[in-house]
Amino acid sequence: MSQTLTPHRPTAKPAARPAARPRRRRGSILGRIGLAVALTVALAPALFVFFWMLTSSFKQQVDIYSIPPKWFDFTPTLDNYRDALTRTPFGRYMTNSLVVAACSSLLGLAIGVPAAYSIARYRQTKLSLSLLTARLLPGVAYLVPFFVAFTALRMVGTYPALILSHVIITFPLTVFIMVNFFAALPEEVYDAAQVDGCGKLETFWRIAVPLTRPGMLTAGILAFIFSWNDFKMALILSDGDSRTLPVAVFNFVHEASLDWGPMMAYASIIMLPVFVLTLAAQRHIVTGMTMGSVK
Amino acid sequence: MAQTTESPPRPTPKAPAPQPAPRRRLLDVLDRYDRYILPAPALIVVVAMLAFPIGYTIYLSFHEWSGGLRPPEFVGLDNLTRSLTDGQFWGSIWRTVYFVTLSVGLQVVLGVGAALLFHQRFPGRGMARTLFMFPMIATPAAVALVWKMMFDPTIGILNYIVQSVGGPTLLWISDANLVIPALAIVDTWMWTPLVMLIVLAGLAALPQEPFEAAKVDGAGPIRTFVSVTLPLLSPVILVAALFRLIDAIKTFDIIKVITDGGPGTASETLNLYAFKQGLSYLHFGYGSMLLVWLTLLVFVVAIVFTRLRARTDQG
Repeated sequence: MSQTLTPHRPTAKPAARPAARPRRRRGSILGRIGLAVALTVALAPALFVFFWMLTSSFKQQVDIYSIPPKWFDFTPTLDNYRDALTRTPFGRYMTNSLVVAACSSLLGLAIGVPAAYSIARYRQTKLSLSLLTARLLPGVAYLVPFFVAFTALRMVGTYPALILSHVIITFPLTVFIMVNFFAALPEEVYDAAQVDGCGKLETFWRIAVPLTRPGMLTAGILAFIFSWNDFKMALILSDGDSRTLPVAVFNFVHEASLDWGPMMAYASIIMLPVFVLTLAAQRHIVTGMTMGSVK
Repeated sequence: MAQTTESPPRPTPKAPAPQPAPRRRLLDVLDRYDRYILPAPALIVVVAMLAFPIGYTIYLSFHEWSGGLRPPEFVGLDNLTRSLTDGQFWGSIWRTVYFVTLSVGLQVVLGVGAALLFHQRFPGRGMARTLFMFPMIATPAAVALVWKMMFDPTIGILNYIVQSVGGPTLLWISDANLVIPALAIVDTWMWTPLVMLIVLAGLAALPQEPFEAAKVDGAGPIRTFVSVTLPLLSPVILVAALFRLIDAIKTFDIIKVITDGGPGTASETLNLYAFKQGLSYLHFGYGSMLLVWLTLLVFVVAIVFTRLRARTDQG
């Protein structure tokens, strides 16, 4: 575990050659077919669920219930979307989700980036271990205190309560990703800054931060996604109009059970921003997730 | 700020330069403590948002309290003894262990396989990796709904697929014996990509020499995998398993949305049971005791696995 937290200094070895796996035989037609089959098998379950959600969201009730299932041969309708958007104050929930995810990921960056820099530069293992504990603790274990405290402060249902609780999700994530980015900066960069008369804090702010902008983009996007996806904090700390989308769709189940069409429309809309962000920052996200080896 | 970079060489502590800019001086003082100043906000958050709540949970676990104006009543170890004799508590532990073993086992096997696959070079590899990652990035509460629909015994697509290959009609999440495996399938679908990503990173970092040696020795692909790849990868696989074990114990969203612990209590894991006691029935005291158990469970797993990893690293 410590491996993922202690900064990885770039090794002295020459950059790894594109790993040639011994199995692979270039140009073998059988090998290519095998690869294609394996890829299909691997990707089919991942994508089928989303395919089924999307198609169902455009189906009329009859077509949703039809057995054998209608894969493509149905008349698409937008009724479910109209229903999902009008039956609940959708715009309100969307705003809540956006505000909470944006604020908590920015706050996560503001708190996490300096901490990550400090860990990477000064090898503060103890600090990183205490942050790791934050990652270990079951979220539910601090829900009771949060609920009690925020109720006492009359903050349940407010943005600050949700944003603060989400910082617990966003800031460890930021730290774990950024530690690696800061550690990857060559030592010479810092030396050069010092020769130029840069103070320590100045070096952080004017040299290290600009150089790791891609890392911050990755961390920010991932933090946004995980805050957007959060369900349990929002379930407890939001009510009425302050609900975020995942909680809103959950309540929708209770209010209209088995009304699958509108629910699939709702689910599709919720996931849309996440997928757009992921596709836009494809490469960064894979690196970010792999580097931190933390979700 | 701009002026500071152009200022003459920084004053040494012993011989201060004549009339340093006040700003410069303040910055110098701050600079001396930068290793404490930079992480300070993070530490404040950790204490306020994590240490304090955990402390409070432990405090509450020795009390009986249902909220309201009356203060928590100290009951000593009552909650502890109550949990030890609570059949539902032991049941929830058993269900947690069952769910976690099943889902993490599947994820590790499939994740390593997927990592080997996505490690190959082929056109569109980046895109394929991203698509494969979609389940772990998608909103769990919404995804859970889609699975709930697919699990439906009459209109669900899963039963149609099972039946069309000659399988029986399954009740999935309405069947007390099937509900945990069904939830494990959802968890595996969601989190196999994480195992894949971690193992993939491990594969990319492997030294090439052992593979070349294996080739020279004439080892086939399977032999190479078993004798070279797998031993070299095992520390990474353990890390992936550890991450997944810890998170699987804490699984909440999908269970809450898909079954809410049902049918009956057939899928009520410790996490869900504690949540219900604490936040649905507002038994803050007993709920907190269950949460302490949950936290201990997570830590025990973490410690055992860290030890295991330390051993594989040496070996």
